[in-house]
Amino acid sequence: MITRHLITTLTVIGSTGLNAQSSPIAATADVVTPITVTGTAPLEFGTIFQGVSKSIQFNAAGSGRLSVTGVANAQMALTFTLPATLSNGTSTMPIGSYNIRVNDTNTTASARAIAVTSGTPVTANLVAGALYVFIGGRVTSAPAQQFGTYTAAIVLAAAYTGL
Amino acid sequence: MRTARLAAAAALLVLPVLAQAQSATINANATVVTALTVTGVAPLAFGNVYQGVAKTVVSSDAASGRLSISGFNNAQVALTFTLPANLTSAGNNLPIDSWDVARNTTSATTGATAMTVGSGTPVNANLSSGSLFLFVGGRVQPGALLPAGTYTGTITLAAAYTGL
Repeated sequence: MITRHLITTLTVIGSTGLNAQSSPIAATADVVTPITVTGTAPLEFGTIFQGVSKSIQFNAAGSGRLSVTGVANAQMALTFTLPATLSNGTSTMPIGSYNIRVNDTNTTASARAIAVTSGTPVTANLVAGALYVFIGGRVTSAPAQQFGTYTAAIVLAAAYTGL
Repeated sequence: MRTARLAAAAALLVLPVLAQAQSATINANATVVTALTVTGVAPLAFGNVYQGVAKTVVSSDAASGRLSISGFNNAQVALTFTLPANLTSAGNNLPIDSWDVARNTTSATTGATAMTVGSGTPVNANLSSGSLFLFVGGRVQPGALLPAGTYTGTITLAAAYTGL
């Protein structure tokens, strides 16, 4: 009885050793350089007179500037948060429009216009591993606009799309 | 086994955080400067006028009309005068046939600069020291039969920044 049991056990072991075939392969992944977004310069409208609108062009010295770096040729989604008004305490001053352009180099010459809606992602490519963003806009001052310094935050978020 | 499943679930929860967008913020700034203030300082007083005799008050006279503007240093302003064609009294008109307007950065008439002004037509000037003083003279032409009385009119000065 003991002998018979041993034979059964050996049969099971022998069966396992004879049928299994294996060939390992590697699973690899390269996690690429993360995206870095940097605010370089504020959008400075400067001195505003009551009742007078003022525009800052994307290529003016006062334009807002940001940069994005990451993996070359990667596609990313850019999401701008663009304030509708500047604020000074409880007083507000509307920003009627924005003029946003991007370039692969840090120059406004030949920068490309992009249509941007606050909060809505737009895609762009990091052709050379970097993208430079230039932001202009227009404020409209009311005839009785409260004097003082008005500010607001412009936020740019960038994320890889995987393409 | 349960612990392992929990750990795996936790790892899945962490992954979206790692994939989150990177962001940066810049400010948008603007400074609204001091409002313009226009003040009427003194009336243009022609004083006694005789029938059929024109009378002139030049901008440098003590009786000239005076206004002042204050605002932001070096800003350009558009000045719009509304100048009456007549002084009136009980339905009678005393024509004003010419105006003599001058400006200065101080409240003195000495050194004031003459301005060419048309009623209702803006003319630009600079608040080179944050203030501008205006002196208004003119000439009335009473008719030979103009009834006696006190004749008045209103001179209005509106000022607005041009943005320059």
